[in-house]
Amino acid sequence: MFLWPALFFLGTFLIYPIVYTFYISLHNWRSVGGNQGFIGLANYLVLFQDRAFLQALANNLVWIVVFVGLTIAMGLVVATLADRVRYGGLIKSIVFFPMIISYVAAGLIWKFVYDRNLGSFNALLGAAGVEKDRLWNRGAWMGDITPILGNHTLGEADVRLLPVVVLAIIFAAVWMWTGFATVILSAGLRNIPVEFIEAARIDGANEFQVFRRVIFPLLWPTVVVIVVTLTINVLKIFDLVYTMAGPQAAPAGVTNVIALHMYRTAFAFGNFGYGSAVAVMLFIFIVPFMLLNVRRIARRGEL
Amino acid sequence: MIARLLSRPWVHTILILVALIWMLPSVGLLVTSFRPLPDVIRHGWWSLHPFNFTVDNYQRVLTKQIGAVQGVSQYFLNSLMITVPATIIPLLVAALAAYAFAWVRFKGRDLLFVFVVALLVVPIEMSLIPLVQLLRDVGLIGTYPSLWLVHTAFGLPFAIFLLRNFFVTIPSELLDAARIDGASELKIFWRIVVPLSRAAFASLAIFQFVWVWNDLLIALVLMTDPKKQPLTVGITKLLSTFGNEWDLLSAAAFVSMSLPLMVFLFMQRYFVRGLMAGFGK
Repeated sequence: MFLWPALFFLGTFLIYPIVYTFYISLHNWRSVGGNQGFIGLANYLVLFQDRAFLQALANNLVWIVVFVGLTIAMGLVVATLADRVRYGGLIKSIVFFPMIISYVAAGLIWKFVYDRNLGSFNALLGAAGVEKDRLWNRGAWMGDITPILGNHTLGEADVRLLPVVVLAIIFAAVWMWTGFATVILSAGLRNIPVEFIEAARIDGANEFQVFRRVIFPLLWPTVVVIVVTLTINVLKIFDLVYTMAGPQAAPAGVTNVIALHMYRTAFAFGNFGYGSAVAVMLFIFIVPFMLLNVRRIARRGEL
Repeated sequence: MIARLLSRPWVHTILILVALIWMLPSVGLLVTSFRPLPDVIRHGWWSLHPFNFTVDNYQRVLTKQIGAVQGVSQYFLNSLMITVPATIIPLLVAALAAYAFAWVRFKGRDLLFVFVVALLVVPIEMSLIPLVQLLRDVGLIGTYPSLWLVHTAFGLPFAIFLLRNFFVTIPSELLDAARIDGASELKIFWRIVVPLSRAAFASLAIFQFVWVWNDLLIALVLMTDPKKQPLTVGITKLLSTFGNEWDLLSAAAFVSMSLPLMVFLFMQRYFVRGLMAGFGK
């Protein structure tokens, strides 16, 4: 039958491993040496005392709020404005370009932007009259985007500081995904019948009211789709942090995210049991969005 | 809406500003890749004097020894070796499955499709650890075929979803007529469904190609043979060994972007169409 090849691939390389990951997470399981015995939920209990994991969790939350918010805002700006000018297509293409390159390439591009000596960011700051050595910490990482608040050198205290570095990486991600938001929002805007908008105007609504009462409610489902997609992607964010901050989530693990933590514990330290528990947590965070996704597609009548 | 609230000059200003912000990072690195590093260090990449255009950075990085690998050109070939089969196999497998989901009636079909849709968003991290063990046990770890198999599995949910949604739009009269003429399901699939779905296949192929080409995590974990790693892994290695040598890094970045750039320049339409089919409406 036509389905068998697909079922073989999905079963062997996707479904069986997923189920098995749950199983491994309940064991003391090493990369070298394998299963060392059942330990119940011990891996999960350790998880919530692991500062690195909590840091990663907090960062992922910052990611969701800042990244999703900014990306949708930028997408909305570009989508609404670009359709009003003749060169709108070109603008959309420019914004769309980063969508097609790898996180690794994008990470490199932005590392260069933030580079202390050669980067555009410091140059622009310099041109604006900001003395870079006052603002950027010498000897730190990534073009020294760790701010000195007071006179700290990098250490314990900085881990609790406002993670400017995290924001710096988030901007790179916003740069990558705005094109996606723009394309989907553009299509959503085009689907709103012009008559609706004209009718509201004739009834005396001002432009702000037209946006709030007519366009926004009609665009809302599109925004929800984008929020769900972006949130899922950002929960899994790995490559960009790995490229820009390195496998140690420099500086001092401040930039850690769940997926990177999973990679490190499982594949750098060889702790498969604990790594599996981290993966399961990631999965649990994604489940609500997965259900939203399934429901949306079901409602579209595609089932 | 926003555009109406703003006067014309503001619209132009904002758009041009956005375009500049979006171009500046890539342009900076591109310019750097064609200049001698000392010039960039002394004057900044944006300076025009002196402008000594050179392709030397590319020549060096393409042949420079990086760990076990003889230059970025080797990584480029490795990426091709991984990506081409990992694009073709899932397309074939997904097309068959999508046909079944669209046109063959069987028990539990809708439930199974819901399952596939659910798999769309399951994080790769959920299967990596058992995959390492499985591939180790069968002795496939660190080989190209192991990555083809894994990329096929990971690409399937989206591919099946997209193709199935395209297939159902084919008028059923066409298929029924062929069935009455005595054509087998396989023949209908090859002779009617596939030719009618060329655009969908093109979109999907481009999507899968870009996705595999850009992958870092799967290769990082599963490609244990340092001689067969793809460009993405190669660049992260370059970054850790030559972190400040932006002449090499910039050139390597654009070598890795070359094929996605082609897609962007010549096939953007298909890519956007795939995006819309997957997430739009």
